[in-house]
Amino acid sequence: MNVQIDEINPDILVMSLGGDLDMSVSPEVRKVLLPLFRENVSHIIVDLKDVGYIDSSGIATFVESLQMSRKTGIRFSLAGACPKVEAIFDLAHLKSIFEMSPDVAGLIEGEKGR
Amino acid sequence: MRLGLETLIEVKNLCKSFEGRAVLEGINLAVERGSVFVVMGGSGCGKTTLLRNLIGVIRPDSGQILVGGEDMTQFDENRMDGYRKRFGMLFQMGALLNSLSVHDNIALPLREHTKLDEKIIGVMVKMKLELVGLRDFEHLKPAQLSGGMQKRVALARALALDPEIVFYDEPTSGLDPVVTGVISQLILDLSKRMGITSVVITHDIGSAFMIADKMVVLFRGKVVAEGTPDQIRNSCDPLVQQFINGRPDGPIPLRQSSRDYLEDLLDI
Repeated sequence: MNVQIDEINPDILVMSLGGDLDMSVSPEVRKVLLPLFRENVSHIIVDLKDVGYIDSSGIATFVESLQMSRKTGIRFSLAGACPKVEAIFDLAHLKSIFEMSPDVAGLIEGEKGR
Repeated sequence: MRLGLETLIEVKNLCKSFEGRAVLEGINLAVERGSVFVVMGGSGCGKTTLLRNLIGVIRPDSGQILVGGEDMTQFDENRMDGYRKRFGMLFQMGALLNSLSVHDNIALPLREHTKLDEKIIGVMVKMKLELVGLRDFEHLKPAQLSGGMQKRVALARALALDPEIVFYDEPTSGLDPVVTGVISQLILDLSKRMGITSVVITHDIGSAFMIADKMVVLFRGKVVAEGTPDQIRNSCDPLVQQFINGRPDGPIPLRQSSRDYLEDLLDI
């Protein structure tokens, strides 16, 4: 799995994932994702556009991030999920609890107006 | 129809005998990826033996079971371990560990087979329980649950590792009609929406016709009919008709003994 962190500006971090997010790699993703919830960050976006499959350990990793988001007040969003990945969130009854956007650009554009 | 094109499991000419008695006599079948495949048949027809071969608990006398093109009957223990992680199994009696809570029963395969953090496992257990509609019951022990609830917990545990294939052994036996409907719907959902391939061993005709993409009828160790639910329903084969209509006598004999009764009594 490819993991890349881009700092759009000091406030917004984008974590881009590529490949399948399953039990063999989700501990690695978690190790990178959790420390991003730090001071001076206002918004963390995970870009899923190059993720073809996500298993329940991947979704659980994002649920934990959402818990962190509630604790810290840092906004947490998912972007670019393909229909197959979205359907997996849906089946887990977790699509609605995440802020999901078609793409990262839209989220960043939205930030400008905030 | 939503059948995939790819065959995931192919059973070729599978034979198994116990102490000279043939239980499986040249079984051939093909299960497509993401489909629900139902194996029907009365008691003693060989369906449990077929299932035990499919999950690698016993090995056939001859024949092949190709999973993704590889013959799993030839796997060594190491490869069999890898294969076991690819499927979940819902046992007829649930097979939950009574000394463990519902939470720990579902967490068990995750603790055994993954390096996931306990926090992640905790979330996953809740997700699996939500899938089967039992989220508030994780701290109870299996003995504190009804039979239908135990079956649902067992299904949650079968799903713990996000398997590619789930084998179901009589998933609806002993359940009331509502819970039977719930379990059947869950099997369908998991297959349709998550692409899980389901192999269901059952003699519950109603559930079988509700969930199957394709079904086979086993009789005396042989496949005697196969097709879609409609094809099976409209089959002219008297044996199939007897089975699906639950008639007590017909080609499937009421009396299983082959020896003449009088001869048997006088021959002591």
